[in-house]
Amino acid sequence: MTRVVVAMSGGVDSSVAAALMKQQGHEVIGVTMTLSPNEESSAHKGRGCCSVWDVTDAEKVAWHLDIPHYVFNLRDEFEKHVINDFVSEYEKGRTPNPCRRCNQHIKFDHLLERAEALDAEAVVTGHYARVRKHETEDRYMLLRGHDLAKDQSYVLASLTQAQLSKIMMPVGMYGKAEIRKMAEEMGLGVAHKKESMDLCFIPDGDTAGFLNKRMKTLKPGPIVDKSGEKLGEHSGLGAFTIGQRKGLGIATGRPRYVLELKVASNTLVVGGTDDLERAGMRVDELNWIDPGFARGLPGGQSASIQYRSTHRGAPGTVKGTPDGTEVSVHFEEAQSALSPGQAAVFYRGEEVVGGGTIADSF
Amino acid sequence: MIYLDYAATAPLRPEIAERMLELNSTPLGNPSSLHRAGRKARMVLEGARERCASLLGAKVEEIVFCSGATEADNLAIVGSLSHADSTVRSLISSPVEHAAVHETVKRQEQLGKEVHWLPCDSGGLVELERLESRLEQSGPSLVSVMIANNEVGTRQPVFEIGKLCRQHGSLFLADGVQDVKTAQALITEGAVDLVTLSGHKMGGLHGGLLYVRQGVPVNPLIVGGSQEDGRRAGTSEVLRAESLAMALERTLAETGEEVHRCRRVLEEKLKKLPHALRLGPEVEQNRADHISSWIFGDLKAEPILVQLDMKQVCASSGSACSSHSVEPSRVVKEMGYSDEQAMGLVRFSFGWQSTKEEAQRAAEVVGEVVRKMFSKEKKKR
Repeated sequence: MTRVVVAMSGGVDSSVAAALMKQQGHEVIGVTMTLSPNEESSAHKGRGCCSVWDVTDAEKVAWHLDIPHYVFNLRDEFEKHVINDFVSEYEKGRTPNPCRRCNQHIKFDHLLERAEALDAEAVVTGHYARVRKHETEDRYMLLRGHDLAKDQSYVLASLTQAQLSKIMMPVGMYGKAEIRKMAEEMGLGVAHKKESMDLCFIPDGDTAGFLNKRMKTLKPGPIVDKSGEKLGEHSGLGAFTIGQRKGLGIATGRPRYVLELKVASNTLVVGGTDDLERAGMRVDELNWIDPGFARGLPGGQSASIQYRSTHRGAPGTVKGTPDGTEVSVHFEEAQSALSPGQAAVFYRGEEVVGGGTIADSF
Repeated sequence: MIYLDYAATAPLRPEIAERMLELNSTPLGNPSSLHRAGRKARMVLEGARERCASLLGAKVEEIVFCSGATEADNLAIVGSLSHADSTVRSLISSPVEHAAVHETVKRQEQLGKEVHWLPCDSGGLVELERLESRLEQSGPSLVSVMIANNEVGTRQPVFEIGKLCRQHGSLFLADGVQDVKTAQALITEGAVDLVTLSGHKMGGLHGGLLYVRQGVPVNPLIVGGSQEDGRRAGTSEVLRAESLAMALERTLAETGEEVHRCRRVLEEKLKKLPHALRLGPEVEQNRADHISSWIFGDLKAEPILVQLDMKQVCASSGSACSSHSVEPSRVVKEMGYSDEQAMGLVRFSFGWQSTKEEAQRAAEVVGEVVRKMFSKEKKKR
């Protein structure tokens, strides 16, 4: 029996994760992290993640499972590492992925540290992904969750070997429907709880509104086509993302997509769907989970490359040096809407071999 | 389990639990009803009021029962400021008040009232000279200074404050939740105008009491009935009132020696721990008997409290928000400590069931936890 800390959000997945660990005979400590900035009351806005009501849900599950439960206040760290980065990335004309940042800097970094202080041997989460020791090599593997529709390995690709050796994701073995069924059978009150789809710190889903409040540099500027001809005006580069079609506020007779955000001149470049296509991209902020894959980079490594959370990967070649700061990716077929700031994750079959951040596309 | 969080709430005294059941053996009516069940309830309620009044050296009409001390603090401040006969022109508050007072005063400030915050020293004591000069400038005011602070146990010079208020025609509100005996002495000596008390901190049910000196006008916050002499609407809470009277009786009858001994035993051990710093005044007479608050170097309170809980010791950081996570203590910051130090506050508080043996054992467990955390930190460096 080992002592483990389960990160419990109050949702069904992490609740079942806690229950499964308990069933397997571990000594389980439940922990809920409060991350979002304090608000007077969230009840009227709908329940985002880590509201008081979610904490209560997690506590009820913990009480039901007869495990201790604590609330860790990580608001300052979340503000510093996730929200500030989210805003400054948009300010730079990039498209951040805050869930990935949170996993990298909050969930695993801070939580592992706190778990160690409690003499716990592992941190357990309710992610739909799998962590497994390699059969022959001395390393851990990160695999897609069995339920491909729910797979969350994309936001976990920045985990290091040291972190993976102390992480368990029991939910990744199952499908969402199975998890709900188990929760029901175990009598967990959260069995049919609605899934949170929005960013936890923007529970009403109004990202543009959130950025408007936080950004200092938001000012109107021109919308132009590729030739530089002015088509209209934007109210601030803020919440635009490459590939975005809605909310441009221009009528040209055919669909226009965001091609580029030129921060220096505060210009938004738009074009047709063909203009979005790119042969490849440069990726930096690299992390290699399989060092073998990294060793083969100089000759070019084939992989399936996922560059958006809802995308499921496109075949291509990754090239670079094993200890270099960036790699180049050439897709077999041109790809649409590669957004700087988003994660690029390299898969070999269902295994995550590494990943990084999209720097730019070509 | 060793329970060392009496400043947050105390275990219910068994004789009070028994009395609650006994009162319910025949129907206990609404005290406003005409029939015998109502009469019985009325007698219990008014009996409780009489006992509270006599224990505190007050008149029955000076006692208002309400839901808790937070409501009592709100009622004292908003109720006395908003009354048409009120002469109060400004609010003067210590910076280390409980949130029930602090937030209420802040809201009045937002609504446009003139508010002055008194400075305090590193032990949390307010400076009397500053209060005096403030009173001279401000004219009739409502002064709020708690008797004993709930986070670090600072006992304020309330008799002197009461005297200053009297001299300057100002009202004095003293939150007495953490020091009932001094509250009683203040009321008996006529040195205070408004006092708030809490039942559950004394081992009773939840429920609060507001003492309002005769002649001080108070508007109700809750309307919809003439209960509590028009100062608090809503069916009078008979059981809470009875429980409060019983808890008050017992608390005032206790010598407090055992509690004091517990604290001494704990502190003898804790002060030998590496980087241990006790917060609050040095001088014994300026300290509440039951509260002992500490910072251990740069250790955060949260992991200490979790590990103590896992070893069956219940302690707390000074203040808890609704999601019971550890937040930096506003009071500790007001005393001049850094944000990091304010995250390190660990509070132990004793009460009616505490024993010396428990204090001894708890101190050993705290020692184990703190030493282990320091040695882990060292390894990391």
